[in-house]
Amino acid sequence: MSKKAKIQLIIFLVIYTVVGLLNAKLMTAPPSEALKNIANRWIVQFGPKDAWYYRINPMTVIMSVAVVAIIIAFAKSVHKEFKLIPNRKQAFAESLMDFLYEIVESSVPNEKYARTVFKISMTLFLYIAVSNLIGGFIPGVSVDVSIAENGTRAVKFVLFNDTWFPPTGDLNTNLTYAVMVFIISQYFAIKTKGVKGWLKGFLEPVAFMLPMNIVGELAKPLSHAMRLFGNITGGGILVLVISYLVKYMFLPPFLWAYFGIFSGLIQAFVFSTLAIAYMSSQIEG
Amino acid sequence: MDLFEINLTSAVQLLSFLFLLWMLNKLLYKPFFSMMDKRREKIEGDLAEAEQLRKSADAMKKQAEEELKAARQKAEQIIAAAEREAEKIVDEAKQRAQKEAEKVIINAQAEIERQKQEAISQVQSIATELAISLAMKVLKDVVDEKAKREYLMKIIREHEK
Repeated sequence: MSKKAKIQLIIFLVIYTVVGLLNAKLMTAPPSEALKNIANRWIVQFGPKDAWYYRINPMTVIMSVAVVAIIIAFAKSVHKEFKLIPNRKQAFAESLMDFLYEIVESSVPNEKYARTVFKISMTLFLYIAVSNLIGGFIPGVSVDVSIAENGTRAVKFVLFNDTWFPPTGDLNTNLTYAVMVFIISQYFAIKTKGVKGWLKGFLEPVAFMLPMNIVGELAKPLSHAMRLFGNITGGGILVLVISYLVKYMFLPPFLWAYFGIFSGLIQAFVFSTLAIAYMSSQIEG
Repeated sequence: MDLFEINLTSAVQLLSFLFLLWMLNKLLYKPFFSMMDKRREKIEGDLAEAEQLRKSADAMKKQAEEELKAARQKAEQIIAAAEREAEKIVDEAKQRAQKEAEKVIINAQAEIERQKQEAISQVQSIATELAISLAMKVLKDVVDEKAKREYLMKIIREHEK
């Protein structure tokens, strides 16, 4: 470790301890009081009726736009200098894409669909990885929503109390993407096997397995979406609860590192790999 | 149950995903694939070129080796010829020296023989003269001059035989 790094580490530890002590003094409310709104979401009703298509989660939309903007900014900076001999940034993007493309190439039986599958799964991976990372360990603006007896929501913005809200912590995002992958995989199945072959696939290996096959197919998007949702939401809530319990001292950085970087990237990888698996399993070679 | 509510956000997320897919396709995937194809072509071309260069280098190496072999053979031949020449020269010199020596020896022997003969004949003639004069002195009074000489000559000739 260089001298500069040592000085930086010492400054960080001093600031960290001071902030932790201040937190411990300021956070007088018991955790049960402070955390009672943890499962509430900021939902805006903008239509006259109380129907699903007139309701929106603004935090998800805002963070989703931010994630998309971050990814596109990165892609633009790489695009500007795409050369035969890569520089550092391009090599990073290329190795990332190479890594996923190798998985796609080895699992998709028909070469023709490999690039389409790759594009979808790569986009999923980037989106989920970035959103998990910013939601995993970067403190930022969060929303504290309390619901009154009559159902009205009081929204309060809090700074540096929680991490940024990850769009993947909203079931809307995960279920949308999982269903999208499901529909694309069924589309591939119809395209490669024909409608007849696709329908026949449900009767295999014997006809009375039809209900099982249908349930099996429908379970795929559900498990696909719930896995990511549960990991991110559960991880976030767990970290928040423990952070409150230990008054933001000492333990949270390790939990952020685990749930934010490690688990977040793993879940992004798992989600995109499962997307590849679901799509390629329906493609006939 | 806020956590499990599905609402219009889904559509927004789908649209944002499609937008992201479209943008990334333009910015990352297309350049990435074209770059991969270009790189593959370049590597294939480079490999083919390298193979060709290797082949030509092999041919050149073989040619050089052959030339070296020929040169070595030629050098060996030259060395062998030179050695033979040298041997021949040495042999000739040796033979000539031997002949010279033999000739010298023969000449010397002949000279020795000749001188020996000369000496012998000189000794003989001196001895004969001496014998004759002695005999003449002894026989001066006994036999007449002529008979004595004939008789003596006869003895000497017999002796000479």
